[in-house]
Amino acid sequence: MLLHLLTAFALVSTFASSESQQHGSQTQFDLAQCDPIKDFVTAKQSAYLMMPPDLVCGPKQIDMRWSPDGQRLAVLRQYQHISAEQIADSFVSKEPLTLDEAETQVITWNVKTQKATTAFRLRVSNGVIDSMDWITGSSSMVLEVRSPNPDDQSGSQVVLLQNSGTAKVIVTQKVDEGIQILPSPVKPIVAYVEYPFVRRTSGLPPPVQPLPSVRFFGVDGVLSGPISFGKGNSRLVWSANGTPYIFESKYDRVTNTMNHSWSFVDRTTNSIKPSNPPSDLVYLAQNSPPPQISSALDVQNVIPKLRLEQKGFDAPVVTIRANKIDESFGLVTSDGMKGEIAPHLTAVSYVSQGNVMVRTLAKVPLDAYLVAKNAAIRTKLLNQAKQVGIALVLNAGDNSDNYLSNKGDWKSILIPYLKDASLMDGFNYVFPGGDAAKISDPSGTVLGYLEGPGGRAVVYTDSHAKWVPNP
Amino acid sequence: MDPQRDFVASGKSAFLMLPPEFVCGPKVQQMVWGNDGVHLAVLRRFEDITTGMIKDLIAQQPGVRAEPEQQLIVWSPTNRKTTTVLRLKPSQGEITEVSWIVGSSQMAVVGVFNPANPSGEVTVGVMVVSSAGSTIPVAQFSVSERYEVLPSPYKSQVALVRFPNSNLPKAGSSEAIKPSIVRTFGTNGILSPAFTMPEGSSLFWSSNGQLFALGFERDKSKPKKSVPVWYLANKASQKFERVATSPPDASPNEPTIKHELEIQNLNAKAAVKKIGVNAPIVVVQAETPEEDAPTVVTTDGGEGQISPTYNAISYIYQGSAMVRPMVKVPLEAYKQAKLAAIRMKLMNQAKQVALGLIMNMSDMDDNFVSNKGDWKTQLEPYMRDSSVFDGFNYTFGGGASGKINDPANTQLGYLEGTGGRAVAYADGHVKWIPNP
Repeated sequence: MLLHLLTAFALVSTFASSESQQHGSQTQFDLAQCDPIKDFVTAKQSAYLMMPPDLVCGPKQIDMRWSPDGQRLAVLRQYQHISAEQIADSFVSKEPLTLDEAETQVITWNVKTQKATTAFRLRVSNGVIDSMDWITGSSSMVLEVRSPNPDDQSGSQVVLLQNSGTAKVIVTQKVDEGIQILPSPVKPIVAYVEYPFVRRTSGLPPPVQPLPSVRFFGVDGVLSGPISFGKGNSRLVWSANGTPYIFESKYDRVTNTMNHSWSFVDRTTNSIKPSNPPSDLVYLAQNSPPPQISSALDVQNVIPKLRLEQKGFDAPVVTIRANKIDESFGLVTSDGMKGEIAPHLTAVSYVSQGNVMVRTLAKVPLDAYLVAKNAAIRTKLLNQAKQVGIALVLNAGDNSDNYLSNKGDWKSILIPYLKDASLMDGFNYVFPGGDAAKISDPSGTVLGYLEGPGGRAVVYTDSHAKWVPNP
Repeated sequence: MDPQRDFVASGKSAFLMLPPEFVCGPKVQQMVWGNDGVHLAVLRRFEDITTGMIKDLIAQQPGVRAEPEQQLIVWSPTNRKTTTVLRLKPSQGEITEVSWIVGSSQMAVVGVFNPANPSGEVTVGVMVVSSAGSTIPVAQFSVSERYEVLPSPYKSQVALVRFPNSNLPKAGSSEAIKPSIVRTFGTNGILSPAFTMPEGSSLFWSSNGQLFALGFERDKSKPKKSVPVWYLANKASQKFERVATSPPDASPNEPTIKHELEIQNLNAKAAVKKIGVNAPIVVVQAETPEEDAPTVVTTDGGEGQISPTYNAISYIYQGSAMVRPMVKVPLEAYKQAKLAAIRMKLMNQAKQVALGLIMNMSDMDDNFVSNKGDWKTQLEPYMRDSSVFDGFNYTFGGGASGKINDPANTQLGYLEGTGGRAVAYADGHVKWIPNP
């Protein structure tokens, strides 16, 4: 069935392009094995075509992150070379395997070039990557790398990973200090927030805790001077337009209430100024999802049970569907999970049996898609009607040129003449049957038809098929 | 690795399927495993299509497009590397058939080629192509001729048959049937002298590398009955010479292999939010299975093929060629590993139930829930998933925890497993107790 659709679509596409260009100088374009129904999702004004999947990287992924512009996917994964022989050995020998050291890799995949690059490698004994963030509007990333030894008191290193592949340490977390790395949602700027903490020495009164402070850096990795802020429970948040704000909560013992206050960080004067709460949306916490932007497409991850010969299989299915339009959905894969749509709907990423895969999305005008889709369905119906017609003619030839009666069980008689009995599904055999010689106008006598969108695929007694639009 | 999902066990051994590897992108036309399982050849069409081109196409506007090409790609399970061996533009020709020359890293490739000669005549060519990319031309035919390439299943030899008549002469015509000619070539692509095939015969390779032809002739005593006649290609006389007895192993063209594993390509349906999803499934099962259910290779793939040496399974996933390498492990070692994994799973499950019971106990003024009533419903809020209760036997009667003298030796309950029980104790620890 699928194959027929593919061919049908290919035919229509070729037909369409040769029509628009008088001379068929174009080679056949069959859309790289795309299915006009399964591989498209229709939204309100556009349709989205899912291109065939591309491999981003192999198994053991830890984190996946789309860049805010939807142009790059970063995958954090653990990689250890292990050969098939070593795995086989591990089953037999009781000794632990001696393997090459595992490494953590940051792999980036580019929607435009469709290429994956290993941007960063770190041996497990050298460090653990705690977090990974894109720097908005750039192809650079910021990583937080911590010592692999849990007893190690030294702090994490903040590493800037530039597009060129160079990695440089921008700043190292001080002992006992808490840090936050917060990229701006709109500009290539990152806020580095430090919460210093002084331990109490026994026998001495509790020390006065220093104020938290924020420093900023861009893709060049140069840190600005620290700006101290807040006293109580304060944190830095970016407004949706890219202004850094300080949000402070204070508990009032007298009224037993929490008081909130806002101020904004003036980077020109390196100072904090009280302000009204920002009117636009904010990122409230590190690693929290960006504010809910209504997206044209939604992704669903489900695991339905497949029943097959009395046995059940789990097929993890990823589908995408247009927001609030239930009828149309695109099947991303029936063997994958963790599906995620890139910002600006450039692609869908998912994990299939451990591998990270991407299907790029192409946006096409809805009208044009519907035309192409209907044409594909028509071609498919015409092919199908023609095949049933040929089977009827062949059967008549085997019966001294007598057509089957359309009263009886003509379908089971025709089965041997068809590649697949399902071709007769929906076919209306209207010719009553009888002697072919009595047909005076074979190319004008209808054998039967298949109902389709806006018309019928009609097959005639000379076995030619024609699309007849509904009146 | 999942001991139940990623293994297929036969009566002799177990095979572990590793995570899939991506061989090459979409539009795969043909995948062929080499007989030794060392190479996989993939024939695909490649077209660099950008999303912009698709927009033009759907909108029925002419656009600029890159010229498509056909690629011959070789993947090896030993080093898990992909090499593009040949690239062909449509103006250069198209490969129609690829077969491996046994015991070598060379392929016999048949294609329609359009050499840059002034007449523009299209020819059919046979080449030896190495997996490193070097090509040796072997022979050329005109497209109107019929030909057949028959690699030996045993030795590095290929028979090339040429049928001079593209169509058999019509009945009653005086035109004689020209005899078919066979030549052989090896990995060096050098053709042997031509042998004229006996009329109406077909070719067979024997395991010792000899080429036989099988014809039929009328039995003299019973004129209506045909009897088989074997001929052997004699290099010295350059003729097929009649032999008295049939070669011992030349009768089947494929070596008789007892298949330990079998691949099935199926189609299943699933309902996702009332919409039917077709899931093409590839499963593998042993001829003499250790377990009832087949092992799923993928729930989104087709055209599964197993390598002849069982070191990998190839399949087509949404148009792309994928391979899951396989590792053979001794059956006993696999069974032990599987039992250990199941034990581990049961012990984890028992521990979760025990923790739920203990948390509920401390919330109920240090009273364990009674095992008489509906303790499962009462424990549900403490559990991520109520299915962890499945099969758990809560044997402790319930009541005040203060009355338990020795919590580390007081049994709360257990889960039955193969050869033993995962027993949970009142202090929350879990131990595997083998059956006596």
